[in-house]
Amino acid sequence: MKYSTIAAALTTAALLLSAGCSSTPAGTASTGGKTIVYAIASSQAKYGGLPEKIAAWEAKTGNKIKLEPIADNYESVVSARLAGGSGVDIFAGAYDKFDPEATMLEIDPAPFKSRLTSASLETLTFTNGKVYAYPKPDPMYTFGVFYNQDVFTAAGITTPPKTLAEMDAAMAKIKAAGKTPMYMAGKDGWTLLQHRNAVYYTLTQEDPKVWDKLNNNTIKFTDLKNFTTQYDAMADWAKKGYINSDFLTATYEGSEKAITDGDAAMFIQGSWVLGEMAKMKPEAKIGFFPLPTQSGNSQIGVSAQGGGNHIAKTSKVAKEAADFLQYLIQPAQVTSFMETLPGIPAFNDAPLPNNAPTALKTVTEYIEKKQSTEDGDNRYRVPAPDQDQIALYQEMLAGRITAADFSAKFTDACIKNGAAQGLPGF
Amino acid sequence: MASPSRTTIRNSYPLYFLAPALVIFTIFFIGPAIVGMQLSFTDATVRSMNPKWVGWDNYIKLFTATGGNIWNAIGNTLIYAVLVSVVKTSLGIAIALFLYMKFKGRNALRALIYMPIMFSAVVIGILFNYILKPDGPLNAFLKLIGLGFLQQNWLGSFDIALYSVVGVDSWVYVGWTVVIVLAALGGVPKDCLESADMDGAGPIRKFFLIRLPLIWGSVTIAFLLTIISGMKVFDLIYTTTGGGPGYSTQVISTFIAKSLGSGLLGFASAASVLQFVFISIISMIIQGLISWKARD
Repeated sequence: MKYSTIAAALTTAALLLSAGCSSTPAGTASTGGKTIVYAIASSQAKYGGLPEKIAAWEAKTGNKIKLEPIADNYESVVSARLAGGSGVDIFAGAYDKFDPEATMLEIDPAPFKSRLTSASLETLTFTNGKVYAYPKPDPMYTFGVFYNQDVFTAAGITTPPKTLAEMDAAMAKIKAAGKTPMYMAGKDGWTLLQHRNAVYYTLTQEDPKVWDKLNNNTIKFTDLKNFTTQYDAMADWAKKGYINSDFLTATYEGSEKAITDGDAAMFIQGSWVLGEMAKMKPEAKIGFFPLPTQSGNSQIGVSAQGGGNHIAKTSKVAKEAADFLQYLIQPAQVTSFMETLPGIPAFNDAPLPNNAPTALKTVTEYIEKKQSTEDGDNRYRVPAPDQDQIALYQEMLAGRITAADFSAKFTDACIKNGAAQGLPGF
Repeated sequence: MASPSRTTIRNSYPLYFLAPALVIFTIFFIGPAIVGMQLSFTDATVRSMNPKWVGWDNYIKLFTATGGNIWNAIGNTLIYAVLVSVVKTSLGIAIALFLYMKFKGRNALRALIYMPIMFSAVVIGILFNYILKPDGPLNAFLKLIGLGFLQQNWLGSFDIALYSVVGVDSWVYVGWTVVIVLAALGGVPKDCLESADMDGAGPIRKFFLIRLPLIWGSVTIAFLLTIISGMKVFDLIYTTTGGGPGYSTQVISTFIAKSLGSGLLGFASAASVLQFVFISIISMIIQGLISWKARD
């Protein structure tokens, strides 16, 4: 009796274990069973309802997405894992942070090419003309000046400035009206680099081939008037007290609050702030204009949502990974992303929702009027020495170095990084 | 008489017991250190699949191609390490002497002094970022007690940010020195102190002529270990100032972290080896000075 009870218990346990080991989820008819490892920045792991979209695809195909959030140094961690062959199938990131030809599977853009806006397709194309990324379902971004329209109106400014001289005059009026003209969040150093990103957009006006020349090191940033005049202007703003006095300890969240509350007039940021500020204070009227230039010619660029989604060259589940990434960019998924995270439409068949912030409509108009250029950050092959650049911004804004020093050291840091990476010409 | 083989076996006991620890130490410490040193002589980056041997190139670049940043980092590291060691050791001795006296609530106070060590550096960084901000509680308190002229941008000033972090480090980790000194004070023979009392020695003479010489060994160990940890500081700087503003609080560890962030593995490894050599030299010098003084 005792032995038969034990035998029955063991048999039951064995049956339960074998059922638990089955990899086919209930309710699916597919043979599926593959696991795709998707390394994602932890801040984006829940963007636009991504977990729900993953669950829907898993139920449809029987395959599984193993989402692995990475908190810090995303590109370094993913690169190290790719180099070690430790199972990353899908990852994101700008081309200059990786070795695309060695680590990324070449993608045939035919299935999505016709759906993409030309700006979006440009940003997915590597410098060798090939595509190594699927577009992301989240919208694209641009960089420029976002401002509180009420503060501008109260200071007597009726049209946004186009030239650096107009910008200076506008800032003087805002300061006289008792508000901070330009808010900078130096504590969160990455925010300072959004000014750099906006400056990059102005460079092709001076020379359409500027990025090819910078990539071959046949021209330097210090040779570009559009580059040096921007930093001369910024150093001047700091000297004249147009920037918040606590910029070294001010935070990103603080900057959004200062603009939405009307304590400060404007800041230079990426267009993702619009959705965040709308949630913070829906009634705040936020406008946008491109970073002014000396000549007054305005143009913006678009950023391909951080470089798109790549499939690792060594992935053993490339077919399933491609199927998942294709699923993510179907119109229903893209529209859903746009509703929760408004931004520049990357797809022709997923336009801006009607309730999108007004400033985004302004941005989209610039793109439709062809007043846009290739995104500098995406076109520059040299991995940006971000930390050095942040330190240089802080030193210049504090008046410890001049704009000329800034430009020289910025250029130097980029060239040294290019040499360290073994890029030809450096 | 035991046979030779049994004697040999008995004499080998220490090795048998040491072996597991040696194996683990070799795999997890010596091994990675050797790999790191090897990497420092290559042009390895996170992008490159085939690093090439470049000899002393990375070390030369450290001193010639960083715009003086490495010298700034070395200087800040030295200043930081010396200051935290002096502050923590002297403050630790003073607090330990106070806590050695008998009074009500002594044990609770001892626990309170030690408690900050148990918090993680991230928590401390977030906490002090709040306390030390320009409109934070510290400045508000200074204004309240009529010392408004002392208000500063504690973590945002190029001139004082490093010293602010020294203050935070000292507040958090002084308890460690207190514990060591308290234990040493417990070992001071009571009859020496009683004899000194009978000879009419006051508390200051008793401290300098009896207590301090007898606890000197523990104090120097605490000082040496504090200097070493000061030279390796990373987490507190990273969470409070991130090495900024500018380069004003950049130390060797944050320099290495920033190089790694740029994907320059070979270059960052060279900086790590430099840090190791630097700490070893400083430690040997201090240890040598202490031993020489002890022989005197």
